[in-house]
Amino acid sequence: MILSPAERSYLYDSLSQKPPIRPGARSDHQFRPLEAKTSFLPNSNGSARIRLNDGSECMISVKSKVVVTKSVTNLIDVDIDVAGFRDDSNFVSNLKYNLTSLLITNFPSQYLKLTSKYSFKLFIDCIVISHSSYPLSLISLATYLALKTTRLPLLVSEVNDEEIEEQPTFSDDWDNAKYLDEAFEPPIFITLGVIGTNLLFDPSIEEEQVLENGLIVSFYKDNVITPISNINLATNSNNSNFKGLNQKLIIESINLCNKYCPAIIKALNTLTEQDDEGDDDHIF
Amino acid sequence: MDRRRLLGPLNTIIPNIGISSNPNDIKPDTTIDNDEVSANQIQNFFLKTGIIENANGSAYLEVGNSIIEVSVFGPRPIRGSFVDRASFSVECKFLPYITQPGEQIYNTTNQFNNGNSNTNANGRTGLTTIEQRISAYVETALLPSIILEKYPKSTFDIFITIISTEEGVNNNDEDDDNSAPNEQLLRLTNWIVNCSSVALVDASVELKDIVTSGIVKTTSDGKVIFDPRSQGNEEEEQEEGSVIGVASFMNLRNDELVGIWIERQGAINVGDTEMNNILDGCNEMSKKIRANINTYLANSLE
Repeated sequence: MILSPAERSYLYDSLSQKPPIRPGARSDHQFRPLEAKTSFLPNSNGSARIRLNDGSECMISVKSKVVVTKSVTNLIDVDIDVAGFRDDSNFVSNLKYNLTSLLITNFPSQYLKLTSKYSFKLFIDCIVISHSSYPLSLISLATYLALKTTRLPLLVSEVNDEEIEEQPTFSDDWDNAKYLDEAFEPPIFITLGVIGTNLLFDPSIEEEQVLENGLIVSFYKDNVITPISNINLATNSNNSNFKGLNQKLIIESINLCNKYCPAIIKALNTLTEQDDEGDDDHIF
Repeated sequence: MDRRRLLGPLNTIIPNIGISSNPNDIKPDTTIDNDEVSANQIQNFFLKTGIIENANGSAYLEVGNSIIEVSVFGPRPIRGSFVDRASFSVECKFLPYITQPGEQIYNTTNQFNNGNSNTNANGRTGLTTIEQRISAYVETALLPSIILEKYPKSTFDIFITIISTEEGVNNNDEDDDNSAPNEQLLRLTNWIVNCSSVALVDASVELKDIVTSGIVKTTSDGKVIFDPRSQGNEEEEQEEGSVIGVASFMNLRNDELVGIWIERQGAINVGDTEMNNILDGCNEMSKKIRANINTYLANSLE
């Protein structure tokens, strides 16, 4: 238990104000500041590392493999490892389910298509080195950066292999490698906390302890998309405030995400561009 | 055993709402033809409580080809330090020979589980990713309804067993592989929540309200389908895209929304209208199921 009953009650009352008074003087739609670095793993097609000021840290590696399209059920494979949690725990399984479901329904698989027979399959490996609040949006933002900077080797062999068998061959020069697509903006997850009639973006661990409910909303191409679900964000705690929510809040959350998420995407894009220009090799 | 049961007054009047299956009639009605069921009608379901002697409460539900069994154990004392509220856990298992909806996507196989996707990646027979997801939904949805403060230093465990599912919906078409399992999964989850709520009542756990849920699908041309079922003519709808959502409510507590899970297939945005349609539809369906459950529970007291 992180908070005493008195602290809990104080925080609950502050957060239920209109507008809410959040610890750290954040406004309701404000994310915690984060630092990130992309393309630093030499053996991966894409990589990203993201760090929050509370010490949460997550690292993503995207690797690719050429597969016969027909032999696989999906072209994206997600694996998540959270320090301190078993891989088969409910916590990790649900993170993995959510991220897989988001990417599989929304990832444009034509980017991965090589020829009529072959495709790239992407393996996205996430390591959450440390986290305090629910790490889904952290993982998803890092995945955004990693996918955005993922470069796949340039195909030099013939694209049309319908009549003649052709094994795909690739250019040796890594400088020729291509991004998935310049305009491609991968889907992301946003976690929202519900307290009274307030919706709080990116709740911190202290806020999670007093929330009445939590929402997970996904966002892609300037629109809120699915999956949308609710969740008890305070894991392994007996949060006595947890209760149902008014269905109007769901609509409100969609409108809020439609309003503020483009700014998040913009910030992440700026980050990748700045990372491209800067030649500093050190991470953080 | 002290079940901390609150007995109601003796001269209670039993409400009689809706039509319920006769609890004494164990045979499910298998003669329903999907084509005859109109868009706004809910599938007939068969429900029975108290079939498992060992459990404190249990419920059994058959709907279509799906069979769900839920047993509730608790309140059970826990060892160790004092806690002022009961803890609550949900575990959902498919019987081992059952194809889980979407298992090819979510239950990744590797060398350790010999291609058997019903065991998880490390080869242990714990819950698979899909089972964990269902468990998490049910836990989130039921948690607000249980008055955990009444049971200090104890625990409730719900065990859900999926005995049968609708089989192989759209599995032969590659394009649908990515999305159709979601719909099947949501349909199943919807009934699991309803069944689990009844099991909690059967266990005489103190509840704020009975949680019931509904499932609704909207298509891109604005059509709203209640309680969607696997039908042969589904392909045309999938091309256009559709949004499908499960929502669970506590209808007597101001229609409080306790669980929501929305997925979509095809390119379609989730706007205000879709969302309102889904939530209102789910609420309406949840109320209908609630009325049925109420009547069943009232009749089973006689």
